[in-house]
Amino acid sequence: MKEKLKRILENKIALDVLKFFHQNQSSLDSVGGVSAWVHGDRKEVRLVLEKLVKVKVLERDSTGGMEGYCYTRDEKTMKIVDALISDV
Amino acid sequence: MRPEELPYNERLFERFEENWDRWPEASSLRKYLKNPEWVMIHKLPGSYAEFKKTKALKCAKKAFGVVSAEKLRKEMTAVMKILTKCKMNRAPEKFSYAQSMYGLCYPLESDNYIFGFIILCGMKKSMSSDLVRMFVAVISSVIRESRKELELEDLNKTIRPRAIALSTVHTVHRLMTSTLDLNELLPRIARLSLQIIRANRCSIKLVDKKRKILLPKATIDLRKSKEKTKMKKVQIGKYAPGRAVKRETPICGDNYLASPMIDKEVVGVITLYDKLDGSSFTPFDQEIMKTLSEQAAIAIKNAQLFREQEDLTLSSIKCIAQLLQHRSHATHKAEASFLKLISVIGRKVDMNESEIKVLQYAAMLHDAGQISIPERVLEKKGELTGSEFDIVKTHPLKGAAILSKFKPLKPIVPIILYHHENFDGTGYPRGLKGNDIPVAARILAVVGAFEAMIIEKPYRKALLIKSAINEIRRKAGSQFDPDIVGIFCEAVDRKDVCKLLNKELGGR
Repeated sequence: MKEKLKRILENKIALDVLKFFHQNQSSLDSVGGVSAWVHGDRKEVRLVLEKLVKVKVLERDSTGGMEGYCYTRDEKTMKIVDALISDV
Repeated sequence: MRPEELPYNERLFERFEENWDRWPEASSLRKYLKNPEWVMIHKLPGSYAEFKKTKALKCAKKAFGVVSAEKLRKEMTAVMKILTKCKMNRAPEKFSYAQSMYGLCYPLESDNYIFGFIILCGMKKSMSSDLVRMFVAVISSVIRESRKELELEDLNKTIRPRAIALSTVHTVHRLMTSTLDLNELLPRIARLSLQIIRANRCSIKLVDKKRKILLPKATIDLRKSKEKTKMKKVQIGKYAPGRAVKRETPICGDNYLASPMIDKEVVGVITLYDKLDGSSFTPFDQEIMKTLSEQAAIAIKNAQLFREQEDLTLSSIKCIAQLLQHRSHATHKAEASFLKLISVIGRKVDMNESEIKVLQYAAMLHDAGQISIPERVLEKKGELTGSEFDIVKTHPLKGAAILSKFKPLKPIVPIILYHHENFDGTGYPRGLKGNDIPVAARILAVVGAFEAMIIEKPYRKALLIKSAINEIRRKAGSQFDPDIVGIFCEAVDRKDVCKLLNKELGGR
């Protein structure tokens, strides 16, 4: 998981998105919302969000065409993210 | 102490020092003045001993060259007096020392408060008044810029988390209002509350007005321990959830936060326990939960209203269906089995819950049009004549026309209209063929025919379930969609469906 995440974080937007959720762990936001916080393109942010959901760093809550993304609750994953973010 | 935790004036002084070093005009001024020494101090030294610690003394020593300590002290005490005067007058003060050295002291002021001093020393001639004015203007612009930067930082620190929280609340609101199914809504509210407050447990209780108690409706417990939360009724006024409801205000303890859901009246309460990081619930958590609870109250009320409306529709349908049964003298005994069959088949063809519900309503009313067919035709034993069959063939059209008048039943109209269409195009009223017939109507055609065969009527004996299934299989591809027949045969063979059919039909 760590290696996969490292590769994802080579993308600057991915790093910004992950930093946003790591620093604002209570946040639950839509693609549009996250794009605004990280000043990123919606399409690119959507792709990044899905990649981060795949490696279980983020969770997706979707219903009736509406999607909300939030940070993991898993402590181990949070520690890995913390270390990766401080390394970059 | 982190820079952002320092008192405002100390932060302003630090920011001024940083900005002064990189300010282009300050750099030009430095060059113009032939690089004098700049000394910035946060506070004026109270004694010579303190003054000795500042960079100003080093600068003075450099100017004096070899000098006795006594002489240096004397000269510097004079400079200190100038600095005090500068503080008193809040204006630039020029000074000279070591016979031919000149300097200038200026108080750094913001909002009538002196937050530091800038001292220039080591100049070979005194600064002209114009130059002093220019110097003061440059300093003022650096102070202004430093203040702006700090204000922006402070705003960012307070407004950004609030804006992020607001955006979260907005997303939560959209996620909550996207369902009107209470069974789906309540666990969703619990899950969303846990996520944004980062807690381990959440319980949602709704008010039972008659019994004055709170009924547990949804609980999520994400603790790793085996001990799980029990769903308990709580009296209004007791424990944190009960008190929150009674007082209509959030109740917060070290490891719990109970937030009442209020929309004109209290609907229920969301209680969160144990924050993920072990910390206590904060006033900010309370603020967020208050907003979320208000939204939850509206979503719950909407879902409750929707459920009431659905119940009303269902009661009306049941009432109409019963009237129809009386008319056709049918001893309708297998309603639950047919509804179950429909839901099993509907799921298999990827229908959602609301589409399945519509199909079930259609199944209950599919022969509503028979109300307009004379009894002698309906109950005729033996084969119908051509003109009699022409009358029977009008019942889907008539049923659709009657039911289209009842707004909540509009979605079932096409199903009723086409449920006698045959897969090979030989059916009625339109002679539609294959996939042109709506899938719901194709399902109803199979289940409706099965129902007609196994229910006994005064003018005709019922078939055995096995024989009815064989008859349906025989007509796959001609009367019925073969794919739907395949799914129907699997569904009717399921244990739960068989059990229900046996129960309702008495083991035929």
